[in-house]
This record gives sequence, structure tokens and C-alpha cells, in this order.
Amino acid sequence: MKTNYKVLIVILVGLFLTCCEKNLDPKMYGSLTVDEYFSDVNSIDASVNAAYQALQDEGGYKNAMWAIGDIASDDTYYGDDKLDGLDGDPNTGQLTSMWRAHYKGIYRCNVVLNRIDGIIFAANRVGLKPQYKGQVLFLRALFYFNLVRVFGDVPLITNEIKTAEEAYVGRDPITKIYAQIIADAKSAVDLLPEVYSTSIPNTGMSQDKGRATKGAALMLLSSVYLTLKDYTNAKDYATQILNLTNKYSLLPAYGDLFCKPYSGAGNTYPLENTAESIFEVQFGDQSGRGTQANWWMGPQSWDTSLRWNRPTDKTNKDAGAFVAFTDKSTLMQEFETGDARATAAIFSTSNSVDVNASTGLPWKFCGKYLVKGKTNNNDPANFPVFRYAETLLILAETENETNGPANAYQYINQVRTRAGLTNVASGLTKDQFRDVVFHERRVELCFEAKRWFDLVRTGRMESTMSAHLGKTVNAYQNIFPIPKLERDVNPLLVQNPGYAQ
Amino acid sequence: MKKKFKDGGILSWNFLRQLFLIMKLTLFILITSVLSSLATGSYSQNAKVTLDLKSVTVKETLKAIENSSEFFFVYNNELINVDRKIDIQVKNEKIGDVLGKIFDGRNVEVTVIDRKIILAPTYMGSQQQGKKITGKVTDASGGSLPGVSVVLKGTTTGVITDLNGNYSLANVPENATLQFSFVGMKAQEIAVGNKTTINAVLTEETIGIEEVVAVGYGTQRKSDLTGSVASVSSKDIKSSASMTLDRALQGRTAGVNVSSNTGAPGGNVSIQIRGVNSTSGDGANDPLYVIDGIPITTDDNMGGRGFTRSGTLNSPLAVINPNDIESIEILKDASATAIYGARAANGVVIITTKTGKVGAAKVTLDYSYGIQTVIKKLEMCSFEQYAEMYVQSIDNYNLYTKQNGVADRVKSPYMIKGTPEYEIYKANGNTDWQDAIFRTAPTKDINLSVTGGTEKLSYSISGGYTKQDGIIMKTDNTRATLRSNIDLQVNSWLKIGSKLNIGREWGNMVTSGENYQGIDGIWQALPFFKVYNTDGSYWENAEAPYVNLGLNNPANIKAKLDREKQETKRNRLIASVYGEIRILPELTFKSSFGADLTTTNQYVFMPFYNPNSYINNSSSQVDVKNYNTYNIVADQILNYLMKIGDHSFGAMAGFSYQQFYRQTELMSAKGSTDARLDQIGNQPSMYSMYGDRVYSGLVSQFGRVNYSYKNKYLVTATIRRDGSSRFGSNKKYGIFPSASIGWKVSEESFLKSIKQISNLKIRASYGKTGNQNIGNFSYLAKTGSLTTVWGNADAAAIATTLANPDLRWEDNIQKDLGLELGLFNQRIVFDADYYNKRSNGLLVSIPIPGSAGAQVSQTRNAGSVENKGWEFMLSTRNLQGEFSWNTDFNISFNKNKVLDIGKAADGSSNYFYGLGLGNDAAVNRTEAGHSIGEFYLIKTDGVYQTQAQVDALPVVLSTGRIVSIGTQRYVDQNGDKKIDDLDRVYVGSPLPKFTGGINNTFSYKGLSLSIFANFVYGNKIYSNVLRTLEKGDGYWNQTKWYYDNYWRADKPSDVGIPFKGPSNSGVYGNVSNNNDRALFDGSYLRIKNITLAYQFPKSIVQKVGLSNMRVYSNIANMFTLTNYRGIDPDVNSQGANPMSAGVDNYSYPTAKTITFGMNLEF
Repeated sequence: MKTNYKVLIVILVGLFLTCCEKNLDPKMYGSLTVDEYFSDVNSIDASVNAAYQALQDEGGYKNAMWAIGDIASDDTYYGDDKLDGLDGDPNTGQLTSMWRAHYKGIYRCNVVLNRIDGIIFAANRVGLKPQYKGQVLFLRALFYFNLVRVFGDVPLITNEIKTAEEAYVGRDPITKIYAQIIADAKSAVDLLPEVYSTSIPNTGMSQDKGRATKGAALMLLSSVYLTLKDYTNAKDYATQILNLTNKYSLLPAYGDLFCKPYSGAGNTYPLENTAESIFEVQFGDQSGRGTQANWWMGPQSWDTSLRWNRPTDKTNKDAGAFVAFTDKSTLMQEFETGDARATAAIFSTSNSVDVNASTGLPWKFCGKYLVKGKTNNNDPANFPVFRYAETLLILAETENETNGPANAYQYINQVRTRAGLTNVASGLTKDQFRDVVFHERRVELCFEAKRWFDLVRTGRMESTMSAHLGKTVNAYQNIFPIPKLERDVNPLLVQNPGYAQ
Repeated sequence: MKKKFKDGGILSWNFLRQLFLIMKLTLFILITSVLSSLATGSYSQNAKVTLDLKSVTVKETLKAIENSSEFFFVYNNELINVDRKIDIQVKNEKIGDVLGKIFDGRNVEVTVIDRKIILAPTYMGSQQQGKKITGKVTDASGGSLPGVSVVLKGTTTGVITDLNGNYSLANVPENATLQFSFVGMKAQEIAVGNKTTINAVLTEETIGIEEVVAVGYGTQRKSDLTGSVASVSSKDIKSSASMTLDRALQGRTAGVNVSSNTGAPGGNVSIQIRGVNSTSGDGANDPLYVIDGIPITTDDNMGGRGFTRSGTLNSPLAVINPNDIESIEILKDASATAIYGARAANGVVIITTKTGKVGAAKVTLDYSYGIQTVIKKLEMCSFEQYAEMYVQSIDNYNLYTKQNGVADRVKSPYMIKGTPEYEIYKANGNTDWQDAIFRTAPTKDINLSVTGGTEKLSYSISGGYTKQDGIIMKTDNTRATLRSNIDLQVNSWLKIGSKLNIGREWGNMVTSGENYQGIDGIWQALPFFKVYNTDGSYWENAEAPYVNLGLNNPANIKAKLDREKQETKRNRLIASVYGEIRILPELTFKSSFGADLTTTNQYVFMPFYNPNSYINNSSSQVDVKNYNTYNIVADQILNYLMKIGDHSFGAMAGFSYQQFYRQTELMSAKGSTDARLDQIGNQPSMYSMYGDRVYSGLVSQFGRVNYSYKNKYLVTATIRRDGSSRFGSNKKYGIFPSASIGWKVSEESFLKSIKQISNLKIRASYGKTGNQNIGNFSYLAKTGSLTTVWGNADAAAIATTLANPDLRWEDNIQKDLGLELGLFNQRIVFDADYYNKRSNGLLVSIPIPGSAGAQVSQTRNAGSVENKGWEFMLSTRNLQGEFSWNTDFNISFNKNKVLDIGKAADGSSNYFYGLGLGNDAAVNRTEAGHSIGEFYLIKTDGVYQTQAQVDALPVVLSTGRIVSIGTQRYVDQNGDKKIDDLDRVYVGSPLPKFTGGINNTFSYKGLSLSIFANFVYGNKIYSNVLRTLEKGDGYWNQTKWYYDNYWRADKPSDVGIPFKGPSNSGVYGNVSNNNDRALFDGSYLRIKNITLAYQFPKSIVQKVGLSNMRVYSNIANMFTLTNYRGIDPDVNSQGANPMSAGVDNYSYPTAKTITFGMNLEF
């Protein structure tokens, strides 16, 4: 009996220590773990889609990007102190949402890049692999390009974050970020197709319109070099766009690019993903899939009499009125007489009731994203990130910077001609030509999240914004404060100089 | 496990070798016994003994014989005096002669069976003629006691009394003593002397310090406990006459707070042991229930997912028959609970069902019949009163809105006295909708059980059937149970047994809560609407002059309830088998396997229905839900008990494996326009579907060590290591230790002399437990789908949560200090406990860096809650003897405080609101520094009585309206002249300051009267019922109290005037949502049970062939003393969520019940 008992103990101890571990790791039904999920090309496809979704987030081009690029600039006046008034509040909602959405996008890109090589692509789909890689590399570069221009130094994360602990990282210098952006964008140029064709059979790729192309990656690289004042490279990559097999072209009418609120009772759904479009963020007309651009920069909605359908209190900024180009913004004056772009870009109340009480003049807003019957929830107007007109303007600018104006006129005049304007007067100096391009960019690309970044990269932000706001704006304000919410969570994030710590 | 055996070569080799050894041994014994039996008869006759010893003990002599021969002796050294010294000299004498010399004249009977020699006192020998004793054993009331064991002291000779309590014992020597013993009775000894008839009267054991109670994975003498364990006996459960056992616990024991979520038959209660420990809902505050050793699942309980209308979820315990319960032990402190590790943070309730007792088969039949009525009705307005208030409210509205330049609101002529329209409604008479819906509902309960057994086999088999109709029409709950518990002592070292509980429960319910769809309509329905037309059909608005009063409730609640169906059917099987091997006298090994299986089906039918009112289902809807769970558990336990001198030592080590599975399917479809087509297949369009399955598992090791020295100093230590599938990969195992000490001061010599103190024990414990109710797979990185706008295609998926490998149980550290005092031979028993519990690592959503990408906040173990309190129990035998009076009293105080509930993303301290009420915002808020779920409301400060007061405090309500005379005055906390959410403050807690109960039992001969009262003090109730019925601006009926008390110029009061707004939005200066006018003191004292019972004298009972007969009558919830004007202060409509406690939101009302019953035994 005594030995029996010993055996029992041995058996029990064995059970105690080792048994049944499997019981602690049961299969989860109903949803998939990340490791389980990445099993085939479809999971990669869906995840690449998800990376694009970050662009459609409020912190992407649904709101924050133009809130920073246009509302913070001298093109609009809102009356709010935060972005519009450059008060440097680190609690500004758009800054927080921009930070988070961009890192969300970066995370999604990193997941794809980390997993894609482990996925076996069938022989007839193997051609998709470089395309998927190229897309997320492009997107990651774009996300970082936006982040670095808005915040300066930011955490550079290129691995797939797996636990929250890995996200507690500090800021990396902009040189390092730009190096990564350029490397990613260059890889994207190599990997991406000029167009998504049906040459790969049964691709499974969900939708081609709106995906990043080689042209988009070249345009991104060109923009990056332009921002870095490396005009040679900027010109070089812009020139490569001209040399693509798939040619981009300007649409005949500027107004075709955007919604056409004046065209009558019919649905003025904008033309999207046109021959001029190099990369644009897609929005849809179902609930939650729209852009907010019209809701905040435009007249929100319109009725048949083209009245401004705002809440009764037109001066109540809580009601969401970004208003008053007429008295606080110089944008209206920037348009030359006869510029077709003025009527396409600006919505003006046409009715005597809706006037600014102090000036007696009609209210004027951004009209580019106005779709009849749609609100901030379901306004389907896509948001342009890169279009061919900008390629031409970059070529004009970089040619002028590298070789002087002589060969630069051809580019800028294409843009002006389409706007119904005469050519730029010949014989300008390099400096004069630079100002002409700067003017042209403002009117051509207004409300397209370019203005603020143009002011900063050309060194004109301080003077322009001081004049616009009627207060001193300093150089430190070229970048925005790191969001307080992020600094509260992650103490490694040091605040930008000049802002409240 | 299977795999392990395969892999564990060493183990299996050892095992096989051992098996082989056992087989060899068996063979050897078999051969020797066969051989020796062949030799029988020769050795004892032939063997000769030679001895030459001086002054040796008999024992040594016998030893010497054994050494020099093949004989061996068998005797009991308590019966045979072997320490006597003798001289002996024999040479080659026969063994019989030698023994004759040794025991000459000593009355020792010598029996030689081959080489075995049995020595026994002669009075035990069959040849010896002692005298025959007969007698009868009765209890104090004179009833005969069958099954009492009557034993000759010091022997195993004895008999058991027959059905009539009679016994007869032959060959009893005069110097013997008879021992009478019976479970639950005090043992008695009577010397035989010259008597031939010995009758014994056994008395019930006084509440015992020698009582044995169930502790985790074993039992312990109550006197040896060093932890805090409360017991509720089957007697208490029975006397509560509750249909379910959770209700029976209310007020019975200190530290256990039971509050009623619903009064519906079979409905749920909230049980909190020593306060609310977790901020999570869905059972995260439920204790662990262990039924016959099987920890059952309640955390994943039959939650109403997908059921928008299931107002009354049934209790997971409702399927257990209270009649089958032997005892309930409630483990409260960490010393007691830590053996259950990661599930014990909220305490443990151990439920043991009845097992067989040695004795003749005892058949018991219990039958009871009861009638229930609603505990209270609310007095509502009559048509005249309603119309008067309506007119006044329109006047108020117009007066008020004109000041704001808004047009008049027109009065309905039906409400203006004297109009022909008014007379039409008046002619309808006043309908009392409560009378129309409530009913006197019967309960029936019948139980039949058979128990009995021998020393080898005992059994307890029972069947029960309970049907309880609800006091609201069309509600009921029926339960049928079967139970069979069998224990078999196979041989001296093996015992096996099984326990089987099968229950089926089915019933119908109605929707509760404020939702304009359920029983709220009982009070809201208008008095001038009729129930029936003269032809007996339901009166609908369409059939009568109808005026648009903006009704948003069914005009005829009775018609609605009648047409809807909500059925629940549940089967539950709780079964286990065990085998127990006695390896050594001190060491046993018990292996048990159990299962808890449930299948639940719910069916809801909302018919096509269009009575011209707010509820106009344009098509029928059917919801079907199937919910299956299984929970299997295997326990292997080693138990060791040893006593050396003054040292007692006990050890237990165990291993447990448990697996849970849950599968849910929900289907909902609608579209039929014929209310008779009520099956899901009749509905043409699918409405929603849901289904999932979840596995989870536990692997645990645990152990306990008890040590006591001189039965004075007690030490207990326990430890459990729980591995759970719910824990993150870095925290797969949690370790939960506890230690406790006890000092029986009364055993010390300096106290022993004080006869008045019969027991004094001081104990202290410290330990850690866990709460693994953190959801399944929360630690995994999961993917989810989202929408990317891509033209027409938009599927996208991505990781939506990051892995959280550190996610773990919520843990709970508890300190307990206890005192147990017994005076005057336990006539006064007093227990006191102080405890301090701190729950740490409560799940809270914590912001993480945005650069994490997948999510910006993560659920982590961060919160902290403290509960501390006192518990007192006092039992006194005030009078003993023929007339006896016992009192049991308990009271417990608990203070709950949230210490930390995480930080919000902006660094400020977090807070969480509870559940919203109907269409309105939540009234509870949980924040650090307050108790969980404190009421957070706008304070009222009477009514604006004069214009001067309005001018002095012209606040604007959140809707932009300004107050006026007669409207409610709110406290503008921040002085911004606006009344809005910023003016909300904490106004009280739903958690009581103390709770308790008192039970008095009087008995005289067979008659006994027991009166049990429970009480709750210091909590607040937010009455959404009275808020909606006394707001003054709804369209539904209002209480008579409101009519009597609202402000009028001629009768100023502090209750705001009625205002008829365009909707029921409460915006016109009158009672708005979320203010303290609907907040009430929730204290109450309730005479919960009065039981009058008569135990018929045995002499009478036996004449009709019974052994026992008892009749009783019980009144439950007879009387309640409270300031609460609602229906019942014992209300916790949203009790499943601790952050929404203390709300009365149209719960199913409680019943007052009168029950008559009888117990028969034969």
C-alpha cells in the first residue's frame, strides 16, 4: 500500500504541473486573431483597403487635413481661436485626430508590410504582391509626409506594433523621417503600376479607382523634394510624370473637377478620378462615408433657391460656420478678373436675405465639395490630394528655381489657359516668376489642403499670417503643438518649442 | 491528460510495475488462504504451548505465544484487560488450556478459529445469556424516532430502532451502558443496571460548535474554522417558503445582501457578499456557486442578448429545488474562499444536496399550496382628477408659453367638465388597470423523497414539482426536478457515489422596465378607457370616441399583454460521480467528475397589433433564442489527516480541470399580419440573426494545510494556482494564497474554570482571491471589419485590438478579524467580524498612445475598489424547556468606495454613468471617491412660490425655458443661472449602510411559531416609476398622491405644477429628468416570513401509519415598514449592472404569499 501511494503522488504531481495546458488556449470562434487572419491574398487585399480607410478618417482628408491646410491658412476665416486663430492649443481636436488617424494608417501599412511576404500568392496573382506593397509604401510615405509637415519630429514606427507597450516611443528627427519617406516613396515608384489593368487575371483586388499609382508616388516624391527645397529632384520626379505612358491631362473646364452647384436642379455629382486626377481620397454617399469638407468650409447644404441653409444664428460658430472670405480673407481678391476658377471654387449666397450684416455683402464659402442634398455625413465629394495641374505648377516652380523662368512659362500657362486667363507676361525675373507661381498655386489649389504648407515651405507663413490675423505670428508656429492627449499618455513626447509644455 | 500518459514513459512504467506487484500480492494471499483453510482443524488441536514467565503483562504473554507458535490474537484492548500482570508456567499444553489459565474467572470468551484466536468479553458471546432489553426512543415531543442506533458502549453490538422507535437488544450484561445516537440529536447514555425496559428521549442538538460545515473541497468542524463561513440550514430555507433558494438567503446571514431584480416567478436576484467588488456588470459581482462540488456558471448566464423585451431573466439557481438542499455554506473571507482562487473574489456559496442516511427507508412527502397577491397597489387618479389636472396643465402651458410668444395649446373638449364629450368618457366609469392585470395567483409545490441506507449503501432520491403563477396575468413558472444521490462503501478502502440533479423549468413572462411596451402600462393606462366592450371583446380606442391626447402607451394594456408571448424553457443537469480510496488510515484520495449542462430556449412573440395607439406593430415579430452550455469538471483530491499527541495536522492537495462551453443562436423575423401565425417560419422576413460559441477553460492546483495544537491554536493556510483561458499570455496563471489563525481562548485553563463561557475564539485571516469575469479572449489581438470607400466595393479588415498579454483577473485582497463567543452552554452565541477588502486591477479602459495605431484605448487592469465593514450575529436560546424561544439576529455594515477607476484621456479622473432609463439618461455615476453607482442628480429645492422668488433665481432650464411660479426650483450649483448637467451632484448611494435580519422562534410541544424580519437601512432608491407617474406633464395617468400634492395657488406645496408640453419631454419647468424629486429613502423593515407549524404527536401520527406529520402555514412579505412610496423598496431593477443599482424601473412587483403545507413521513 505504501508504494501505491507513492505512485499516486507521482501521477498527481505530474498532472499538477503539466496537464491540460491546452484547456487554457481554446479556439476562439466568431472573430479571428491577427495571426489567424493573415492567411491569403484576400486578407492582404482587405488590409490594404483598411490602410486607405485612414485617409477617409476625420483625422485624414475627411476633416483634419484641410482644417490644417486651409482653415489654419489665410484662405478662410472662421472666428475660432484654435486652428483658425493659431492659438497653439495642444487640445485642438483636429490635431489629435490627425495624429491618431495617421498613425492608424501607418500601423495598417506596417501590418501589411510585415505579413505580406509570409503569404503565398497563387501563380496567377503573384503580380499583385508588388502592387500591394507599393500601395502601402506610398501610403506610409504620405502619412509621414503629412505628420512631419504638421508636427516636425514624430515617432518613426515602421514595424508592426503588437502590444501597446511598443507604442511608447519618443520623437525621431525630421531628417530620419524624410529619409524614410523618400525610401518608401521611391520603392513605391518602382512597385506601382501606372494604371490598374486587368492584365492580372482574376485579381481579387476590390477596386481600382482611387488606388495609388506610379504617378501618385512620383507626385509625392516631387512634393517631398519641393518641401525640402531640393528643386532638382522635385523637377526630376515631376518630369517623370510627363514621361509616363499613361498621360495625365487637364480637364477642359476647371469646374468639371468639382461639384457644380450652379448647374441647375439636377444632381451635380462631381466628376471623380478623372484624367487630371493623380491621387484623390474617395468618399461615398452612404451614412458615415462622406466628407465633411462642405459642411465646415462650405454652405453645408443647399436648397433650390441656393439659400444658405445654415442654422438661424449665422454668427454662431458652434453651428459650424466657416465664413467670411469677403471681409477677412484675401482669397477673393486673389482671383483675377475673369478667372473661371472663382465661380467654381467659391459659393456665394445669391439672395438678399443671406448677407453679412456688417458688410452688406453676400456670404461666400468654399463651393468645391457641395453636393445637393448631402450633409457632412454622406457628402460623396472626393478630396484631391494630387492632380495634374499641380504637377505643372511644380514643374514651373522647379524649372524657375533651377534654370530661371525661361522654360517655366509653358507649364504655368497651361493652367492659366484652362482657367480662361491670358498667359503670364513674359520677361519676368526669377523672383517675379516665383511670386506668380505662388499666386497661381493659391487660386488653382484653394481648399485642397495646400495653402498652409505652401506658406510654410516658402517662408511666408509668419508675415502672411500676422497680417491675416492682425497679430504676431512667430516662426515656431510653422509646426503645430503635439496633442496634449498624446503627451499625457506618452511622456516621451516632448512638446515643440514655443508651445505650452 | 491522455497525451500525458502516452508521453510519460516513466509514469506508465511505474504504474504497470505497481499493478504487477498488486497482482502478485493478490495471488499470494489467495494461495495461502486456500492452503490454510485446508489445514483448518488440525493445528489448533495439535499445537502445544510452553511458557515460563514471571510478572509479565497478559499482553506480553500473548505476544510470547504468538512468537512461539503460529497463533495470533485478535482482541480489543479496551474490553480485555491485557495490562494485568501474571505469572505463568506451562509445558506443552494445549492452547485452550493455557488461555483458560490466563483468563481464569475473567469473563473472557476464547474462540479459536484455526490459528486465529479471538478474545472477547463473555457478555458478547452468543452462548452467554445476558438479559434482553427493550425500549422505545422518542423525541422531545413524544414522537417515535426510527433509525436511532442503540449500541452497547464499548462494543460494536447494537441495533437500530424500527419505524415505531422500538428496539430490542439481547444478551445485555447488567454492567453495560446503552448509547443512543441519532444525527441531529444529542447522544445519550443510559446504564443498564437492573432495568429490562429502557426508553430514551433524545433532544435536538443545540446549535453546534461541533457542527461540520462544507468548506472548499472538504468539510471542517465549525469549531476548527479559522475563516469566516456562514451556514444556512435546510430548515431556514424551508421556513422561508421561497420557491427559489436565492430568495431564501435574504436576511438570513450577515454579510450577504440579497436584493430583488424582479418579483416575477423564477426571476433573478442580486446577491452580494460583503459589498460590490467590481465595476463590471454581467455577473462580475456574483459569488461563485458550487453545487455538490461543481462550480456552476453564472457569469455567462442566460443574458438577454438580442432580446429587447426580456424584462425578467431567470435566476440560474431557479432550477434547483430548495427542498433538495441539505445545507448552504457561504464562504466570506479570503481564508475560506482562496481555495477557489480566481473565481472567489465575490465570495463562494457552497450548496450541498441531501444524501442518504443510515436507517430504514424514510419516505417524505411535502405538499404546499399558496396564494399570492400583489404586495401593494399604487393609488392612481380617477377620470375626474385626471381631466382636472389636464385642463390645468394646458392653462399653465398657455400662460407660460405666451410669455415666450408661442401660440395657445387647445384643450381637448373631452377633458372639459360639462361638455358632452366629457360625459362620454365619464360614462365609461373608472377602470382600475391594476385590478385588471393583477390577480390572485396560486403556487403549488409537491415533493416526494426517499432516503435511507445501510452502512454500505445510502441513498436519497427525490422528485419535486413546483408551479408558481405570477400575480401579473399570463406569467408563471413551473419547475420539475429529479434527484438521486447514492453512496456506496464498496469495501474497507473504496467508496463510490453519484449525485444527479435534473431540473426542467418553463414559464411565461412579461416585459418590465420603462419602455411603453410592458408592464409600465399597468399604471400609465388611462382610467377612462375600458377593458372590455359589452360583448366581451377588448375595448380598443378605435371602437370609442377617441381623442388624440398624444398617448404613447397602449390604450389597453390588458389586450396587449394577452396577445404577447414570452416563454422560457430551460433544462439543467448537474451530475457528478466520485470514487474515494482510503490509501492509508490517514490518507484518502478522491476523484470526482461532474457536469453542469443547460439548454435554454426562449421564444418571444409580438403580434400584429394595432389598437390605435403608440404601439401599433404593423406586423408580427418572433424572436427565438437557443442557448446551450456545458461545464465539465474533474477534481483529484488527496486528503491527509493525522493526530500525534497534541498536534492535529490536516492537509489537502488537489487538482482541478474545468471546461466551459456556450453556444447561442438567435433568430428574429417579422412580417406576418395574422397574429395566429406565431411561429418564426410564418414570418416572411428575417430581421436579425446572431450566433456564437465560446470555449473557456481552467486548470487549477490547490492545497490546504490545517494545524492545531492542543485544539487551542489553529492555523490554516491555503493556496490555489489557477490557469485560465481568459488570462493574457504573460499572466496565464494566477496564484491565490491565504493564511489564517485561530485561538480558542475558551480552551485555555484560565477560562476553562469560567463555566459561563462555553466558547471563545478569536481568528484572523489574510488572503488574495481573484475575479476572472473579464470576458473571453480579451487579451488577443483581434481583427475586425470596417468600411473603406472604394466606389461600390468597400470591404476592409484589420487588427482592431492589440494583444494585451498582461490582461489578468481582477484581484481582491481581504483581511478579516473575527470573534466567536458562546455563553451559558451555547445558549448565547455571538459572532463578530471585521473585514477590509480591496479589489485591484479592475478592468478599466485606459488611453494608450495614438502611435499604437490599432486602438487609442485598451481595457486594462487598473481600477480599485474598497469594501470594509462589520458583521454581527447573535443567537440566543431565551427560553428552553417545554416552552422555548430562540432568537437569531444578524446585522452587517458595509462601506463601499471606488479608489481608482482610471484616468480619462485628458488626464482627469474618469467616471462612468450607469444604464439609461427608458429614453432618459442614466442616474447613477461611478467615480473615484464615491461608492459604485452613486446617484448623480440635480437637486430640487421646493417650488417657486412667489414671483419674487422667480426674480431672485431666474434660472434657465437646459431647454432654454425660464422658470415661473409653481414650477420646481432646482439648485443652480455652479451659479451660471442655467440648470443643466453641470448642476448634477452626488445625492446618495444605492448601497445600504446596513442590512440584516431577525428571526424569533417560539415553540410549545408540537406547536411552533417563527417570525422572520429583514431590514435594510441607509440606501436610496431612484424611482423611475414615481418620476414618470408624478412628473405632471406626461400623457399617462398620474398618482393620486401627485394630484393631492402638486402646487396650487390655493394650496402651496413643494411639488411642481403640471405642465402639458407638446411631448413628454419634461421641459416646461416642471419635473425634468434626473433630479432628486424621484429619489427616496430605501430603508425598510419587512416581516418577511411568519410560519406557524404544528407537529402532530407521534402517538397520533403512528396510528395512521405515519412516522411524522407536520402542518404549517406561512405568510411571506406580510408587512413592510418604509418611507418609500413606490410599490416595494426591495427593488433593484438593473441589479445585473452594479453601476446602475438602486433603481425602481417598473420591476415586476413582489407578491404577498400565504402558504399552507404539510410534511408527511412514513
